[in-house]
Amino acid sequence: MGTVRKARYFAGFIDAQRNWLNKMAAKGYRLVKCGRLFYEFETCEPSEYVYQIEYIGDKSKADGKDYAAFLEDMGYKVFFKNVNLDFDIGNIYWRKLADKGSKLADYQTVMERALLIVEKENDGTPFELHTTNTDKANYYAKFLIPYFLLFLLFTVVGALSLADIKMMLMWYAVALVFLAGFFVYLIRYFRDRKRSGIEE
Amino acid sequence: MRDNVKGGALTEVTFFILLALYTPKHGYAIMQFIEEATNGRLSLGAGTLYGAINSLLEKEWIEPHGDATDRKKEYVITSKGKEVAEAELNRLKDLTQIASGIIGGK
Repeated sequence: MGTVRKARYFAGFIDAQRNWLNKMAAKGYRLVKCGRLFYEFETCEPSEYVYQIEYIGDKSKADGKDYAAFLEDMGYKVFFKNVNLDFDIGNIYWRKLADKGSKLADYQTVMERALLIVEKENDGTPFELHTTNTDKANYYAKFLIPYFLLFLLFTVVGALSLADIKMMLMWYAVALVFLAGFFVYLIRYFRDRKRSGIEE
Repeated sequence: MRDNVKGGALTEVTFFILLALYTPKHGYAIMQFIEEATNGRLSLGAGTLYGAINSLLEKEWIEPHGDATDRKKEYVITSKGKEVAEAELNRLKDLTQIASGIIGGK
């Protein structure tokens, strides 16, 4: 059995990461290990496994572990995955969030283990972790604040690098990507909230 | 939809989890129970199930069952949970009676 190592970084783009893992699985590569910037695969039957990715950045470390254990009890294999790289800006930003004492985010969950990669044996049925509209809406809502804050953060960083136009444009481009992400989740949130018929 | 405790209306997911836990079960068994009971119509995602279980634990309608050292966590319905489930059954009975009177049927 051969192992293949690939370097990839998806940041907060969870759908892209999931699609890529599913493409690898379709080609006959099963995830065995993941690090900050790399993924290690073993060969398997094509489409033997399917993947989903779950954002748990809003959970404390203990709650994240509890959730992972629950998913393992369901018969899935679970990997913890970082969202951020350990770069200074993110570092300071997330620490501030955690310090607010909101239940959001202890430092470690957010920095190192904010995502769960969940692997299921492919039984031909779609693999979804969230299935009711209320639950989907609640799940998408979790993304709104982080994406919006990241948008603001990179806007500010861009403004601060006014001296260097190229850098400024680059940061603004990053900010726009996060703003786009924010709207994607906002649309999903409203769609599923409407479907669920919550009146608030 | 959310559970409306005063009005007695439960969501389908909540009601099914309560019913499943009249005998102790772990997460996977709850999911299977619901799929079988509905012939696959209602298939719960693990994340949705996890959220529902935690909210029911918080309301004390269900509780952990057995040793904490067991690898797979099991849950069981509480007496409070049974009261809620029975109230829901009565609500549904009344509803079907009214509906049958209007639409017809036995």
